[in-house]
Amino acid sequence: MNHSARSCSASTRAVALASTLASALAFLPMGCQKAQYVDPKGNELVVNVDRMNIQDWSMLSDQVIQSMVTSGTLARLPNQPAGLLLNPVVNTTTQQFDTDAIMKKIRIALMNTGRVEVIMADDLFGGAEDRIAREAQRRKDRAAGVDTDASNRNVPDITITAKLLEDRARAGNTRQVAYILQMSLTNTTSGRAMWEGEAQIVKQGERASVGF
Amino acid sequence: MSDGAASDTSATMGTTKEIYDGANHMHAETTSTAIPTTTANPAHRTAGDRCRALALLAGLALLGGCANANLAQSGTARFGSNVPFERITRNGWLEYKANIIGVREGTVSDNIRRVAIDVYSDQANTQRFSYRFEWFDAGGMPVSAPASTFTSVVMQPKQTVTLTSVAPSPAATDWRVTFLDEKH
Repeated sequence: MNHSARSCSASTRAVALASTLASALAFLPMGCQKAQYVDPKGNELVVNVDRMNIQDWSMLSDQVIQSMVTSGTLARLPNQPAGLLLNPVVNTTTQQFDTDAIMKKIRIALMNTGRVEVIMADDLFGGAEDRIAREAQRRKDRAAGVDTDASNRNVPDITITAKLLEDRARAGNTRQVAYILQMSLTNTTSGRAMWEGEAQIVKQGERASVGF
Repeated sequence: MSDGAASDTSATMGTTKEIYDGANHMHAETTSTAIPTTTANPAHRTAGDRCRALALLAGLALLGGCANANLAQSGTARFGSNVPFERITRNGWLEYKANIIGVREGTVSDNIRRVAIDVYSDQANTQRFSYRFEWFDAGGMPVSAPASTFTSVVMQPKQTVTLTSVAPSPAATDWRVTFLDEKH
């Protein structure tokens, strides 16, 4: 009886120990996994040779913004702050992604200059980006006896067209990819381009890495 | 801006702060265990100075000095110059391959500040570093720039490159550029 009790107790302890170890082993890989926040504007971001990374969007945007601002075009915009509408970006790269990742940065930068306002309530040129604002504007116009569609309020003073291209090359194990952003700013009164710019980034490597 | 400005600086693990007043006048302040080794302008360094500095820096790099960032930033009005700026050196090795030799400021689109910085590499081999500009308003508060990010630069031997940045808004009046070392 005593022996049996001891044996039972020993086996219970063994089972408990085994379960504890199993649980610990099960959680060990999770405990070792390292996840951390990094500065989205820092230099510890993942770099892929075969795809665009978040820092690529920033670098392309920064180049065209600098080009546009330094060209003096903003000072010559009609009806400042000029109403802006953007055409959809033509993306001919092999990568499918939301091009707003680039264009939104450019929009923000242009609006921060105080020279440009993006038209949100337009319903004639591809649909309003902000449908609530469009409806609110229509109601206000109706109350004031104004025909929204007949007014020029939502007609852009300037428009932007953009195209994103890529070029790939390989030499031995080294792969290279170039991303090119081409952009034009058009004065809708003259129908002519006021500014054109091009930004490029080129990446080389063999596989993804962290940092530059 | 540093052309012709030669004075003792320090290649140390500590921080060297140099203030340029835009008229080639430089004031150096060292805030840690500094060992004077070089002059500010690479053209004025002697071979002996350079060897001593390199040996010292190689040893210090092993202690983690290469992880430090160097800074340059627009200065304050008290220096009374068109382009006053400060250079804060925490990584002596980085200083050799990303040495600021000139700073110019201007205005574009009537009211938006622009800065151009000439950076010189004293090295005989291809080098890499990265940089990022930040902008601040007159009150010293950061002005957000949506497209701001660290940009990698490859420096050919003895090359000078010009880094430029445009203020994100008319409210941005002061700038700071941060340099980080990259292994090549």
